[in-house]
Amino acid sequence: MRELLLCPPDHYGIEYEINPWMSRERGADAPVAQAQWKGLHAKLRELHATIHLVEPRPKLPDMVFTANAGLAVGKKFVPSNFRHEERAGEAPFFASWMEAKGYEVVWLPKGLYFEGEGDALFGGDALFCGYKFRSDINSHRAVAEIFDCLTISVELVDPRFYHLDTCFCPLPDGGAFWFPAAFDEYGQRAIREHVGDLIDVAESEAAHFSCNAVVLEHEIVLPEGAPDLVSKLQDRGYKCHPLPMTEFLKAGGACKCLTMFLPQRETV
Amino acid sequence: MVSEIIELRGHIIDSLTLPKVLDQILIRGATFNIVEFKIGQKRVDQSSARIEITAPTRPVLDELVHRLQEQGAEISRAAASPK
Repeated sequence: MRELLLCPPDHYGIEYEINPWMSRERGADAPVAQAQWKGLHAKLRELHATIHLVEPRPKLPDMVFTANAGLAVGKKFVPSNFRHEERAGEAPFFASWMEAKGYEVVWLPKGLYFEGEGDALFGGDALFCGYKFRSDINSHRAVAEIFDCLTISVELVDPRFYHLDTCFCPLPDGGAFWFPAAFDEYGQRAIREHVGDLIDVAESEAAHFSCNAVVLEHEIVLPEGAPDLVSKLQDRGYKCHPLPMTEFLKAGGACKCLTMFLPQRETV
Repeated sequence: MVSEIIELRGHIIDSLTLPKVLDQILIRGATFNIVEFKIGQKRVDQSSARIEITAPTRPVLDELVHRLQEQGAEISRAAASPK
């Protein structure tokens, strides 16, 4: 049974603009956001995940996106070093919560930007790490040393897909689904060389953040709006659970951004 | 001609960072000489390379090095010599 960390959207809103999706003029509807988040929470519980909640904090509207809290492997946790000042205040709260749960908290050097599971996803025996818009490539080297794992650093080139988890989703069978145009040509090649069965997601479906999915063995919770992807996943034996995520898309987030694995891997 | 030595470290082979950096050097009209190359023995071992870059002018070299720093390159302490 997987354990997940979520944060209720009590203080969620579009209060600043740090990615192309955010517009303060097009705010999130708070009651709808609450309902969509509760829908995700209920679905994950229905799929037998154990849900932990971290207390939301005022003036930290993006704390709801717990994937960016950091990266946990075994009982070790590397908190994020957020690139944007607007989110930097989240880090100590997440770190304290993880420490209280018994995790060894290992901070990266201050100068290295790293945004946790948002830019670091295990696939097969490698940790795929995105860089440029949020995380630095040099943070990957540090993370690789901390967890003693192989990291595949891939450059993101489309600002709409500013985190790895917005355009790449590893599957437990060693495959993945992804939006290739979100990566530069070397990143595409690196992924193709390390991932066996890749499912390409069309831009029209990727724009619904359909890659921003929570994978629980053969159950996949993803945003609505990707019928072709759902069909391909079902053909491979996965059961898909599309959910409305409109209010979180306004901040550039969806199912996976709202979820962090505790831990993402027991061992590497 | 001006030169600078940069260092690359990490999983630069699996990530294709090394070929990306070498391609960027050539695309911008500079040349390279790999001064030192250490390949990790095990899958999780990191590799490292020291690369001397030679460009026609200082502005071209500085702009190139700046771009390579975005790919994780660091300027080597044992560096820069005018040619």
